[in-house]
Amino acid sequence: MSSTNFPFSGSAVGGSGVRPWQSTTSVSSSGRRIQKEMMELNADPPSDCSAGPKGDNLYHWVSTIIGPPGSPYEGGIFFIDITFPSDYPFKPPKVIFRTRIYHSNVDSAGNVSLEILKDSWSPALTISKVLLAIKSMFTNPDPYNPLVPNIAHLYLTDRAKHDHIAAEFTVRFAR
Amino acid sequence: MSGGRPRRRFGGRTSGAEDGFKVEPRRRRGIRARGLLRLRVRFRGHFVHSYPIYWGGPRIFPPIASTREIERAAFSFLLSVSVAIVSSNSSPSLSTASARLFSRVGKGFESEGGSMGYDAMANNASVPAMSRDFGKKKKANRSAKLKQCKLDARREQWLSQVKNKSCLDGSTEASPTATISQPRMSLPRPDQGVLGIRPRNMNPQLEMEHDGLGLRDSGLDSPVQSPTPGENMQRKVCPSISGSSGSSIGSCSRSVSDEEEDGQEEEKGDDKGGPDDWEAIADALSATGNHTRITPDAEKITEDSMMNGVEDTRLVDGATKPDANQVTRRAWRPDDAARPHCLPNLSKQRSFPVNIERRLAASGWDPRTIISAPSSCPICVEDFDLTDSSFLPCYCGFRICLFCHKKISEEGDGRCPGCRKKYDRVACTEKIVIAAGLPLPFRFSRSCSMNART
Repeated sequence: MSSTNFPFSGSAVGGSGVRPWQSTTSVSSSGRRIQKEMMELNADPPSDCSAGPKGDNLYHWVSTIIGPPGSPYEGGIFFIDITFPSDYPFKPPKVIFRTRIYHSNVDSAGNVSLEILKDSWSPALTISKVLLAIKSMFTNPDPYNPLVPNIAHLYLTDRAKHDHIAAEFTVRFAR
Repeated sequence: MSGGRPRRRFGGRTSGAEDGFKVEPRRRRGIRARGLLRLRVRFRGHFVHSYPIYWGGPRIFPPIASTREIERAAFSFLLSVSVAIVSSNSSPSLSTASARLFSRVGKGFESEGGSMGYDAMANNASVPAMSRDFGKKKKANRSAKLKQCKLDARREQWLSQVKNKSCLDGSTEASPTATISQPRMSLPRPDQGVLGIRPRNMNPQLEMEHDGLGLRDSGLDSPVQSPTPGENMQRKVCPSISGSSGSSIGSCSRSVSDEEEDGQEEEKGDDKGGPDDWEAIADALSATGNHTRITPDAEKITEDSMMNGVEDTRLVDGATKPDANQVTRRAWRPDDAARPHCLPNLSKQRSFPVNIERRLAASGWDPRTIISAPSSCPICVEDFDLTDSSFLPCYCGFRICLFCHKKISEEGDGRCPGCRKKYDRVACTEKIVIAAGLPLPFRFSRSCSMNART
């Protein structure tokens, strides 16, 4: 009787998912595309990921990725800001880590060096694929195209130490 | 009755210009994992409700998307828990849309009142409790504030009371039947207007479709009620403990017809865009409206398990007073062998997501089909038209629309999004061949754009 769980937060949002519907106010082609991706993500989210708009703005998303098991980032929750350009499918989205991570391809400001977010971006790629790529970046860093050369060097020379530091960072910042 | 829960919270009016629901996100900073986002629901400027959207872990709660989606979800939420919103006497100024909404939610208030009275009855109807309720209700009517009710918490409470009560049915049954000697057709007496709780059916869409019925009902309402244009939004809620007079006739016949409508809705309601919340409403209806109906319908029988003295009263009434609309007046006796013992709401609730799916499928909209269907451009999500669908820009088979192809070849890198190969002139010649088969205006414009591109 004095329970404070509102039925909306439990049943409508959690259980069956929010009922998506097509917007009648189509803003632009990029807006439509982003909306489509949002529905796609709601319908079939990639494992250990979630993404959605921060607030009203469809072009600013926040995403969470759980560190994949088996990697030094296991158990961490990494928050990622995704900003869509106005000509989105033709230009890649900007991805910034909001959670600090010890990774050779992510610098301390959160910038990510990922090929598909730069030159090899294709309009056919979607945010869920980008998230998948980031997840695979957790397990397989690319030390040959590093953003932080020190970490890449450590990864190549002393993998155990690198993993240890990365796990420490995960415990410190991502939990 | 409301426990320690903040059941009704009213906020100040922010600005008079607001009309209808407004859901605004309110972000909380500093909380990372949970409760990142809170939403506030406002109705015509009044603060109604605030609830968190959990970002939580991934895949636990899919993030809520746009404001409209939030608004929509909040609206169905408000309906499903039958948030009670009683508006002021300013209803003449309502636009039609908000009047519709308003009448919907007005029903919710009634049903709440009905269950309140019913609660009181289940508590063996102590008079002070009743009068307290009415005091509240009158106040709510007069001050015309927004009102909110978490129906399911109440329903739980109510169900438990009914459960407790089912063993006592014999004793409570006797008390309402004592009042049935009153003349049924006597039109509303003043005391009934104030005191009488009429348990009412709550089904907003159906109510709206049955305006005639609604008007007839309001005719049966008490004269105390202020005559406003939106009269069927402001119904008095009367306890049927005071007896079984005209109002109960109205609700009885109404409930029968509404139920038929309900059945029709269940069959054909899927293809309608509008009544998308009928399931939630039916959910609430099964909780609140079951003391108004008695039908042999197999689906509704479960609801009858929760009937008590009120129905018994009507049972005797029906025997004494024939009603044309009345199909069968039969109630479960407590000693009836066929009386079911299960509770009705659970099955309804379980069927809810299924019905969502069904509705989505019936409305022809499924997110997966849009995503995977080749009938729309994967880049810009616009539907392919005739020329687009016959346009094969790359040998890899990745189809895009002409617009996106133009944009990629002119502003982008000119590579196929599917295979990252350069678009070549072969594809362009292919386009020309295809365009040759088209009517002249098409061909003309196409070849023009082709020349410009190549």
